Amino acid sequence: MTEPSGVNSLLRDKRVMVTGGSRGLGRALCEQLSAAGAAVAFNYSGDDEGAAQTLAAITASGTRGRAFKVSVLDESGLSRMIGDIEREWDGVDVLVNNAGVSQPLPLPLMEEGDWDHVMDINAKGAFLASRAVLKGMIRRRRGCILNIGSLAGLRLIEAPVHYSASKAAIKGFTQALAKEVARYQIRVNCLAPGLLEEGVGQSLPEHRLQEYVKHVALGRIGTLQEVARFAAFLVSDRNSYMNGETILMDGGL
Amino acid sequence: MTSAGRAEGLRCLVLGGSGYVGSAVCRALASQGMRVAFTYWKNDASAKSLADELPGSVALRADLTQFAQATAAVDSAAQIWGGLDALIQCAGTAGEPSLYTRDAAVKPDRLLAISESGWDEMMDLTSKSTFAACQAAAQAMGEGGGHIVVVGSMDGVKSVPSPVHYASAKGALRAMVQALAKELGKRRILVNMIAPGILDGGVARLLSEQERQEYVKHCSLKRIGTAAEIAQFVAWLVTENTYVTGQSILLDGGL
Repeated sequence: MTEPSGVNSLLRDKRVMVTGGSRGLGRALCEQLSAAGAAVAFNYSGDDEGAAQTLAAITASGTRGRAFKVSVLDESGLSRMIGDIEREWDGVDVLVNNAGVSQPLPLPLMEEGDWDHVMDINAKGAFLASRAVLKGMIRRRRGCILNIGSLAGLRLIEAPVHYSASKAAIKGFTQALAKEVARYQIRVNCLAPGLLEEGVGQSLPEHRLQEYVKHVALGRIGTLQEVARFAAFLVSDRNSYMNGETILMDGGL
Repeated sequence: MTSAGRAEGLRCLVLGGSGYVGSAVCRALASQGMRVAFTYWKNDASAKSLADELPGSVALRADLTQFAQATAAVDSAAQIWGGLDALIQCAGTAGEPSLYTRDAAVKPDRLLAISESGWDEMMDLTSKSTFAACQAAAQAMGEGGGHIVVVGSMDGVKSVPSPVHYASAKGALRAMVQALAKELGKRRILVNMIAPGILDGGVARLLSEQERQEYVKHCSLKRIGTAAEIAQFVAWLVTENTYVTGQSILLDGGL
């Protein structure tokens, strides 16, 4: 394979699947992973325009890209999607479980449906996507899964309880899955960012954002590119002895 | 910018560079175009061999149990280059080798075998040297930012059967990294710790075959690690990291 134009080779020849790639961190992940040389497929649930932009960014890197309009809760849709990628690209080396949602709701106002919605997309979605991808990884006896967690799942901070609970679930999911599939040379880790320039932080009132930043050692919130760049390293072969680990990337909160 | 672009010319000092992990770190940094100085103490032959292997590298002899010598090593490197971009602390000691031949589960007397001088030596070389070097490095880095990476051990993070003074010293490093990250963050100096599991050299050579097998049995990747794997992570932190700080990152294969 010729080296993609203008990129480094950290992930050259890797075939990567990113969940929730049409916006925010998901798009930054797709951009950074493709810039590192990987072929990148992603799914999205509704934003066709955003997905088209992500796909254009991937192909602009000179690598292969695919977009699938499939929910992470659509078990059969995920199965078809992974089947398509496996046929076209002859396998998936890396899965990044990124798809996630939140709602700025206090617990007394949180309906059962709200709880289910956030837990389903953030935790069950990672389970379903991992299961779909793992069959091929186990067959090939290699692979890597990176779950996107959150500071909210690890530390005592003011965050919606369903969001925090779902991200804490991702930490446990990471540990148990890492133990279970290591025998097939599949590594599973979790990258847990603090507040970023887009995402959950956007729903915070200004005074709470300022209070947060005051306690961050680096004195600022993180960028999507910083997280995506670290993710590219974590899923690369250069990170070969980390397994079951959750790493906080919060600027030193 | 590519990582090679970021790495080119960075001024790095590796404490304990002649050791098993330290030499791998020196090689990884030099291979990416960084300028490397390293300290050594008793192992002149290894230091000379490494200096010969890495053209342009600087070998500095320093007894890191001495606060002033740790400071002087950092100052020397900074003087040579007119500043410092990264300090990587790889120096350490396992303590008295006989501690590792005792099966603590069968004969729980390892605690009693640690002498006061053994405790002091462990703390001096592991934690006090790190403090002294970080203090000097923070000055040398000035307001331009930089990276401090401490290579500690899983023994300071997880509950594993290790000599108490060894685990204590590594635990101190973990707390030191957190406090340093808080204090130095405003100057864009990022401070992190890599906490390796058992590796195929260095301190782990003192372990019995039974202990190594026990580790592998519980390690989910079913193997011990290598110094090169640790060095790759250190190199990323030094060249690419802009937002991870205050963290202790376990590289133990999933224990």
